[in-house]
Amino acid sequence: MIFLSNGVIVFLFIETLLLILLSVAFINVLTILKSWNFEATTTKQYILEKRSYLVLLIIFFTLSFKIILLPYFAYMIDTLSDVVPGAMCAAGVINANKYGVWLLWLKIFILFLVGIWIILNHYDLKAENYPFFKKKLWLFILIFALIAGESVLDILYLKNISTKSIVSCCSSIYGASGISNPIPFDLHVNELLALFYLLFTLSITTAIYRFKFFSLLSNIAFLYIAYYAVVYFFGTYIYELPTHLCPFCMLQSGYYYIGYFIWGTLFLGTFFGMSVSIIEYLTDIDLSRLFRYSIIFNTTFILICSTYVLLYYIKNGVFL
Amino acid sequence: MIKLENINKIYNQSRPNEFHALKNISLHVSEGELIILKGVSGSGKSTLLSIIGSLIKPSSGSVVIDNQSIAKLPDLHASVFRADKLGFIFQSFNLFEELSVAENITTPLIHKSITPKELKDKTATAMNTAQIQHKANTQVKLLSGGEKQRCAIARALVNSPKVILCDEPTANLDAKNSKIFIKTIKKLHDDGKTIVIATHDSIFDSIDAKIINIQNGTIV
Amino acid sequence: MPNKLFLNFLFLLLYKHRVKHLSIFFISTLIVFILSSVLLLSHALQEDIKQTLKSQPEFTIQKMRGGRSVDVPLFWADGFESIEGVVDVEPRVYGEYFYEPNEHHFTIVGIDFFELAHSKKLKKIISDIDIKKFLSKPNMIIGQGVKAFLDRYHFFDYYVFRPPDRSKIEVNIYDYFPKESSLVSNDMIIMDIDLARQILGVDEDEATDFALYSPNELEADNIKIKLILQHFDTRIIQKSDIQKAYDKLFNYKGGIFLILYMIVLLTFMMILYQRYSMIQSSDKKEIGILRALGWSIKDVIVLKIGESFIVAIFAFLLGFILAFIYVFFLNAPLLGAIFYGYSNLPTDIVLNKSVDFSAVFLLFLFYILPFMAAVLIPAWRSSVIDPLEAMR
Ligand SMILES: Nc1ncnc2c1ncn2[C@@H]1O[C@H](COP(=O)(O)OP(=O)(O)OP(=O)(O)O)[C@@H](O)[C@H]1O
Ligand SMILES: [Mg+2]
Repeated sequence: MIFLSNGVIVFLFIETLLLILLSVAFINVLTILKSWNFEATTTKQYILEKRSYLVLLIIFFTLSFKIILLPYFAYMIDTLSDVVPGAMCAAGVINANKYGVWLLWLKIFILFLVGIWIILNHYDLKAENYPFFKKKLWLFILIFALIAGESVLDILYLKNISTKSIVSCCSSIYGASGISNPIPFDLHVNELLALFYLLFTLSITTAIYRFKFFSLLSNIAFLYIAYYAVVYFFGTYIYELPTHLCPFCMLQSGYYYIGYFIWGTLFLGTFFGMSVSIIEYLTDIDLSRLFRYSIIFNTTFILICSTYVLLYYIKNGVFL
Repeated sequence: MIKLENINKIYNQSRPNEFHALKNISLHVSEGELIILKGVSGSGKSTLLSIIGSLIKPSSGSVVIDNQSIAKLPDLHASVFRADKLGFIFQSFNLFEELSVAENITTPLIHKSITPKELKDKTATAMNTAQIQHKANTQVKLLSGGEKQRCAIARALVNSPKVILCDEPTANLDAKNSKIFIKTIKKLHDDGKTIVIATHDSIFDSIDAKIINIQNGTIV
Repeated sequence: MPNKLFLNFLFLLLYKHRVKHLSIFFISTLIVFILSSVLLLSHALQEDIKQTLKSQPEFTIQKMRGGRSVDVPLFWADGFESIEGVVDVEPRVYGEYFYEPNEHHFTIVGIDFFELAHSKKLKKIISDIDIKKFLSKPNMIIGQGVKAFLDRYHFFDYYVFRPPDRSKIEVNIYDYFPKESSLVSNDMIIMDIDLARQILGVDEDEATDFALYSPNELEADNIKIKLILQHFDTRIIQKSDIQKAYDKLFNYKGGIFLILYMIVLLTFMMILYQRYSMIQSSDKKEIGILRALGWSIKDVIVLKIGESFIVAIFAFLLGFILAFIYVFFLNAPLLGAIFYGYSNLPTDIVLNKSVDFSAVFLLFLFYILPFMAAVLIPAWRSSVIDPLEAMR
């Protein structure tokens, strides 16, 4: 069943439209790349330059919609939990078949590349001679390929969601399975927490002192550990239930959609922390001022998380 | 101020209707100079003016204006260059007929980050110089030809440009208004603006200016 | 980013070109109007049903014979009451009474006025009446649809039922249901349970089915298993199943509509594309002037897209507001009939004004994206015109 709800129909329609637009851009990119020569003063080159405005326009348009569409996807999956038996939140629906998790990661990864593309484009247009023109088009081709793959996965995933067979709910997916510890490196929750705050300090320090490469590393580590910290520690304070382990339930209205802010700030914070050194690698431009955003978003993220713990303690006088 | 070296402009390059409009034009204009481009219709005056104004790109050669090379400038930068340094005055005025005089005059400033007060001051100054302030809120389509031209002058001046380019500015004006226009040009010249006028109107013979003749795309 | 001056200029131009945008504006408004009407209506109906279902029993148990449901013996109740988690077992008597001259039927619901009714709506209606007086002779309370129907045949105060035993039973019309509850109770008649037995021909020691109430939804699955074990000839209908069936029905109806709608949208996109691809020489000239005055291609694109965007937004707002009025103040004539086609008497509904904001957002995306996607290429095409040529 692919048309599980009206939301899904609209989602697929929008994705298809965007893909068509992106294909138009893609074809233009190919012709541009084939004969682009900025030094040339031929009519052809000037036509290509004009054409590049179309490409940029389409890319800008579609990618901005992509950014809106990721939280919408999460929301849609969440509402599908009414249709899919057994699912209490998006966790069950995402795990309804083997494609879901991959699809979600792919979407996040694409968004990451889109972010890099936007910054790259900004600096390319700022210069007077299109210094990163080819690089940004190649990056676009990569993004386009991934988005095409994403569309295939979208369809495979939605098609294979069954409304009959029962899926697991979040507590059985993320809960301790008894034998093995789901937290990486076999960490205890306290150790996980210590590592979490340590990596946060590290990412802030590297950002302040502008150690670009180390910032990349520490933000990757922070992203990884923060995910587990939210699921296995902070989440329980959001839900006020020590056994409720789930990265998705917090997206629901019952928790004031706080999940969107938590995952959003984490994404943005680590994105800026990582992208500086990646973009510098691509362009040789010093972008350390972007670290500012990394600090702002990472700190906001950690403040939101910690506030939940604190509030719980103030209200109840104990920790969970 | 304006330095053209070996400018060529070929329209419709490598197509059957290819046309070589400018051939090896080199031209130096120093700051504060007043230049009159003369030549028959079709000789390439407008083309040359547009290349100086970065509206079109030459097929070869270099254009440096106020120390900025603009021959290959991407549009995003060329437009900033135009907005900062150039004022255009056209034969057919090229105003927005439905908008008021003041609204027309502010159009070049829309994409600049300036305060409302600055905007007001600049618009008022430009209107004063062009002597059109008394019609500030009149719709352009209700103006006479001379008033339209004064409105166009005010619009060309509102961004305090260093270079003013005029393409056949008096072709649609009667003798009286042409004289007023020339007076304004003289005043701008005295203020130190660099001015290039493309024309074949003999009324300009009375001005003290450097005259450059163009024939079939070359300077003679 | 567009500043105030730019927006001001944009609106000036838009006003100047208003004739050019008018047709697009009207088509867009119509499209938004239809789509939002459907969404608003289906959401409001769903909410209405959800409200009604809230007071429904957790389980309904019917006795089956040969795949058809038959009346249940009353003594089964003792067995159901012994199940842990079940707080109340209510034998119910109801059924369809066919009105001969026309192919219509009423739904007769018998109520035991001494057992407290569980339905909040019924409770409210019952709380207003004097039970003693109501039971002193054959009385009934009827839905708006029934009233309109009986009025047509000049039964203003009473109606004569013909039960299966060929006798005649005259029943007084005691009161009517309020309009707000009309979707579910439009064709409903409420009367005393024994009277209903007579009219529907149900034996004294039987009932149509049992309603089981349990306060804790989490126990539902356990209760269900025990119910299955007690009798083999039962059909057990769970509240969540009904809810899902309704959801599916609405999703399905809405879904078919959406797919039809996509075709409309695609056509609309083509119209838009064509409309905005027509660049008149006066438009060209304007763009040429702007470019000479220091506007970049990007600025012009933003201007052109901004024009379309504002047209789209205003059309959206207008279309949505009109739809809101149409659905909630005019009660959606015509369109409504498609959605409550399952009731056999004409419905006259007052819908609760509930709007699903996520659906509105979805609607907005669904409309604005095709709209803007269709104008991208025309906007680009007009903005890269050679300024020199354009001004000639
Ligand atoms: N886009 C174009 N494509 C082909 N030929 C062009 C184009 N624009 C101008 N030309 C040709 O280039 C020549 C020079 O044109 P230009 O407009 O510069 O002349 P001009 O000196 O300004 O004439 P006028 O006094 O009539 O304005 C003309 O012969 C014209 O036909
Ligand atoms: Mg000319």
